[in-house]
Amino acid sequence: MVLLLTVIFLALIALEVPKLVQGKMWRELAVYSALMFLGMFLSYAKVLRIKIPNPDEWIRHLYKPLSEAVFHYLTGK
Amino acid sequence: MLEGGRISNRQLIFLMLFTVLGTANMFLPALAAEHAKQDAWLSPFFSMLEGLWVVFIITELGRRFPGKTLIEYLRLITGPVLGTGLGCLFIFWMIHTNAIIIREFAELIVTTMMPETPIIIFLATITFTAALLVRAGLEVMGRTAEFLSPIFLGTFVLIPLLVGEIMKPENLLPILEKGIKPVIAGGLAPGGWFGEVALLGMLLPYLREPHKGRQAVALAVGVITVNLSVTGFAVTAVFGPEPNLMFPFLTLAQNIRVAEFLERIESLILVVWVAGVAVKIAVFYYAAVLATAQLTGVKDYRCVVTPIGVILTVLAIIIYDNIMELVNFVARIWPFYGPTFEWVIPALLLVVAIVTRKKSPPPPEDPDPERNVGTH
Amino acid sequence: MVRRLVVINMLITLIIMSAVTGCWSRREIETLAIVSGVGVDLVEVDGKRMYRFTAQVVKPGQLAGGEAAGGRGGGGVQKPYLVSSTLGKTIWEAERNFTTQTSRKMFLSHTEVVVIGEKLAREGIQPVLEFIQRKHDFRETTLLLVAMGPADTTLMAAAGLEKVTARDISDMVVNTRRASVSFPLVTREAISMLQSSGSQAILPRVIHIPYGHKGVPTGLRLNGAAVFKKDKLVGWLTPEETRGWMWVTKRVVSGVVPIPVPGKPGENRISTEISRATASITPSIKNGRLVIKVKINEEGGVGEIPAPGLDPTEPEVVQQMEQFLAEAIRREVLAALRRAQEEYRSDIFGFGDTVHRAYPKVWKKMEKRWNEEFFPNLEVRVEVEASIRRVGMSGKALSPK
Repeated sequence: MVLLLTVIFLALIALEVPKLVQGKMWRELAVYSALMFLGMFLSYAKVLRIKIPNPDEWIRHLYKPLSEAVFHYLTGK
Repeated sequence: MLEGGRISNRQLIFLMLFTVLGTANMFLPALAAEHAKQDAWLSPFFSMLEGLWVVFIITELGRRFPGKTLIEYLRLITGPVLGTGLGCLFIFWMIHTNAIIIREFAELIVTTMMPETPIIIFLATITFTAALLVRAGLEVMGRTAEFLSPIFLGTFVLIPLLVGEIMKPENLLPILEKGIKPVIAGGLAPGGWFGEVALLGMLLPYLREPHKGRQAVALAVGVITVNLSVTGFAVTAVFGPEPNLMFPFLTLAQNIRVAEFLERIESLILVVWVAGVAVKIAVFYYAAVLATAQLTGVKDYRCVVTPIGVILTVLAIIIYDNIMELVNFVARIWPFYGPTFEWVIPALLLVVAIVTRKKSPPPPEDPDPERNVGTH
Repeated sequence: MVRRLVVINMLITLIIMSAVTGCWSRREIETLAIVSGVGVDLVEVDGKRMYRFTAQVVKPGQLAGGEAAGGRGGGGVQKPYLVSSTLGKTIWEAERNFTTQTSRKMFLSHTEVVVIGEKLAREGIQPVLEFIQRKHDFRETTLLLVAMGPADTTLMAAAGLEKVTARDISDMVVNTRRASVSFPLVTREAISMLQSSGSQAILPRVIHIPYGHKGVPTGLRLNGAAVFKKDKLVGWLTPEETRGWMWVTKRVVSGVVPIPVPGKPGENRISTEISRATASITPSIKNGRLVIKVKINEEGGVGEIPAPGLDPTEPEVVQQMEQFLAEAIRREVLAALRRAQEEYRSDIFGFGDTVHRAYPKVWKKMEKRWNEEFFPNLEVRVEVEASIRRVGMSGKALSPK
């Protein structure tokens, strides 16, 4: 699984990065690398079963009181 | 200019139709019926108000800042530091929401059709399809939507007609048994869906006639309302006030049996639906890509398509452990989380812009004579 | 540069090809056991409650060439289907245990009928309906039946005119509408009956008569109905009572109603055929009392008159026949009502639903005690209007001289 993932990522990078380097688009390359690094980090963490913070959970906690209050008012449940 | 393409208002209508309906018609009937019971068909009309409100806010902002996208005027209004922060939040919202949509799509396919296939296959393939659309640019997306919409809308009009035989309209009575509150509760989740037309904020500058954008999207909201209401009507009339189904629309299609030969057509419907979802995902994807490009100031947005695609796919897996969490989020949290970015923040922006009298001059005259900005 | 790009492209193509070609969940037709009928029973094995899942699997090869190959050869004629039963603690486990008996994977999407055994029905059909609704390959258009006795023998009954028993049953369900003593009921309808507090479930009944007894023909019989309370079978309706229920719920399509001969009381009966029937149920509250009015309109034609010389075109005769016909229909309806109200206390007619629609506030108070208190003592006024439209090819009844 890790191997397959690595192959896919390498292929994606090999396909896009040379073009950016050749065009001397350094700003683009920086953005690309930062985002790609984030994506790769999350992917490997998932595959290797490393616990990563889940933003969705924060959002759930953040909105839960509001949601409960509104639905309680509207449906009585 | 990051995006050189222009879309017509008709294409915008279709893009917005897909943006909302893409997943709405599969998931919403169940969410509306949960609270509104036999009045589920009334709920979309409350959601429509939210949709129109979003259209009003976004187009009003668009009028004050012609030729600029949400991310661009965000920084004009709140300054570079706060503007960039809010911009990052918006990008996160777009990517997160898109991950939810992708997950919804994949969960539906896995539940109804191919339970043995690992979900990652569907997540990755649909993201890949959407990535191709995004790379091709806004014009291609517009034309795709234009091309697909007759089939898509046709299918979703045809199904309620084909089940006409087994409908029991008396299932809809009594109307408003428990008052109006449950109907509004049933309209909350669809409201969050309607609000997705807020992505208009990213597309408005690329319209051929931006000043007519408001009419176009309002029309799209109207069509969506009618579609969802008809679907809700059909589901209640066929399954009764408590359908208790995960995907009522699909089960509805399973129940079609016309003249002993036209049956088992739900697979065909899924084919059409997958195409629609691909456009929906592409619109969100495009908005996120464009926003990222504008925020970071790169010259070509195509360089962020792949990394964002990777993030989308992996986020779609990690945000939920199971379909129950997903449904719970969509039913309980989304009705508030979505509108925060759809109209609460934009409305605040509008207020700030009005108070501080911030406006941007109309952009320089475009060589393309078809494009009329600043006539209002 | 270009060559490197080609290599990378090919690499990507390879990866995609390996991942996308064919799907995971593909199923080739030669590896499938296409199920056309399912029977679910509750049995006791070594003192343990087990579900017995019976599947009737079609053998496509036999189905096509069956008649040509077998038949005259005498002996060794293979049936074009296989009936196999498996046990499990849950229905799904029993279904999956099918793999311990056969070489192919069960394919349930084309299941036409699901037969529920009597014992299971008495214990509750919730597990069966839940299983059908939740499992993705069952369709809600699958017909449901309750067997009087175990379900597996029903599916093992020899097929009649069709090649597979399940097909036979599903076609019979449609065909019996012409007699209106049984009715087609798909899973979707059963589920919505079960979920509504204002109506109770009723399912068609199938009987398998393996041996001849006192002139009763053997084979499968489709008549009568199983009455449920919540999800538990409480009793049966006779064919006449079933039609009584069908009049009220607008399910009568056609059928023959025998009526007495005008002016000549006795055993002889005139046959009338139902050509059209409608009904309306209106609840009303008068002086604080809930009254249900059932109005049935029927149109029919005369088919046989065993009274020599009787002229069915005479106005008085017609009038009297119409009166008798209305009376006969009323009797069927009242018989069904009595059974449901007094014996089973189960609102199979859905009167509760009509009250819910017309008087939501009143219903709120009644809902909890409807089947126990209100429905058994409900005043139901049955009005039948029958009209005879035609008398067939002949005039006066044939009179031998």
